[in-house]
Amino acid sequence: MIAEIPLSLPEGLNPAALYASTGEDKGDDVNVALGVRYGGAQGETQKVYTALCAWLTVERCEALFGCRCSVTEFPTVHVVNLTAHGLLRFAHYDKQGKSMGRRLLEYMRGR
Amino acid sequence: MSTNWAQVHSVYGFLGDQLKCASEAVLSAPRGAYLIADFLSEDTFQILKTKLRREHFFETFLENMIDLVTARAMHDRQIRMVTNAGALDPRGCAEMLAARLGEYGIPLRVAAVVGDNLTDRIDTLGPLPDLHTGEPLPPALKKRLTAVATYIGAERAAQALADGADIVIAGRMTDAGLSLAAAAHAHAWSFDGNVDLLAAGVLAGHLLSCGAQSARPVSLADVDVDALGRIIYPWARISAEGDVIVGSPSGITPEAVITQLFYGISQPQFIDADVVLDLTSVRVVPESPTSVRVSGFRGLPRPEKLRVLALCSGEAHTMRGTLELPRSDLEVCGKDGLRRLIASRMRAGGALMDDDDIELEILGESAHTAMVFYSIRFAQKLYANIARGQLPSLLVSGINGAYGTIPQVEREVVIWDSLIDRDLLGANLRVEMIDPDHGGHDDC
Repeated sequence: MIAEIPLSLPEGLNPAALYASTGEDKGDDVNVALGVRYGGAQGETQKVYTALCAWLTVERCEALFGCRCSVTEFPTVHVVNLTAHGLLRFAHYDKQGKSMGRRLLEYMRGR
Repeated sequence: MSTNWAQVHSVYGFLGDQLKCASEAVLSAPRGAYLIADFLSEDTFQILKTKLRREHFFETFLENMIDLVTARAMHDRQIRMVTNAGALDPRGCAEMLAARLGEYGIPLRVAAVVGDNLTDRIDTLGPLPDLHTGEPLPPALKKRLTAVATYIGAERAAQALADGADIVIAGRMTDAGLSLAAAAHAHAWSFDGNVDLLAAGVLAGHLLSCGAQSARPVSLADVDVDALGRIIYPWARISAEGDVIVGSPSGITPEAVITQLFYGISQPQFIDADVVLDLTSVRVVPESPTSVRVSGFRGLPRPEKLRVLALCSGEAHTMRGTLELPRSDLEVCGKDGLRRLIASRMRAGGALMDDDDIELEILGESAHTAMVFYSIRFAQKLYANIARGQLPSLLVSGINGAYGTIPQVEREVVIWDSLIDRDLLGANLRVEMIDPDHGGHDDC
């Protein structure tokens, strides 16, 4: 479940240019990656990625998921990877993790 | 550009996956290719112990995957297979398969990699500290231990192939190790040698894990939905120099490969039994609509210890299910009210429980309906079954307009993750070639 925090995306962070991985559940943790789609102009890809890194901070993730989070950046593939620690312990529903990436993306798209 | 490539095809990604992929791959893969079939996950080990007729390995593999046509094609086209379908009894699985092949009259050689099942040696393994907390395995759990398996690497499976096996059946081998075994055999890599080469095998194996996850679209908006049912499971080509290309005849994108690359990886290092794969500088570049090259990765020395998985049966039972109800009703009662309602109905039927025993999660809402997931833990199975029987009453005589499926009730299984010294396996970890005539085995 993603907290109903008002969405505020910075300039340059276009959610349509993003894709989400399938979250895998490792014990109680959910792991999700967001990446910038291929095929865009190099400058545009980097701009979106920089904005994504600036927006998807540990603090924002913890506010969204209500648990301790870790964030790791992979600049060579324009991916930001986050782990929501203990999320499944609260939800007891492992399939939630597998859809978490898409849920986060839909939230960013204002749905 | 290398001209010496090993080609590995994924044909099975998890228990319950499509069975037809093996028969398709043996006819489409180049001669001398390898197939990998991955049956295991932590959940699957629980299934082994609780649901399948055969307690220790998967009948699915024997009855449905290696049929006469597939076996004949494997033999005629010199295609080999590495699989972890052996689960807790690779030798038993291998012996049955060898007998089956004998009935077919197909001279494929079968080998088992044994020694990773440590269930009978629990008292020699030490305190088994939890991987994350360091807490030793509690005595109460140890008493209810049902299985202990080690995540072993690919070296013995590669050895089995080198010894002449056409089908190698392992137990709790790492998923990525299945492909590493194939690549190491094809290129005669040493497991004490170049870690970048081992990393290439592990990378390929990781990308081929979980069926066709690396070949599926990241969004239905990207694909012809009619084509989604015709996805062909991916292959990986690994060169002797450690290049990796992954592809699928039905198409593959760098985004899909990356989603699989980061499946379960939260840090730049992916730890496997034989090597640590470093993804700090990984690059993914499309080569064609059906192939993607992955580069920029490197290998780091393997971890000092091996991961083990201990399964312990719990005492409680959990009931899980979903419920759809009118959104307006959920807005009126809220989660707490819904929790009280469900508990009240189940107590009315005789289930002993408190409101707080129910976990509720709102999965989603539309303009008119809300989908709720619930999970209820019962100290005794009796009450779980009583509660389960109350659900139809809740829907018919409770919430107008609600819908739900009959929930599942399962005994809790505690999965204990720990590490052990590699030396503990010792010579017990070995290859056994199965004698097709006598059903026995020859140790290698």
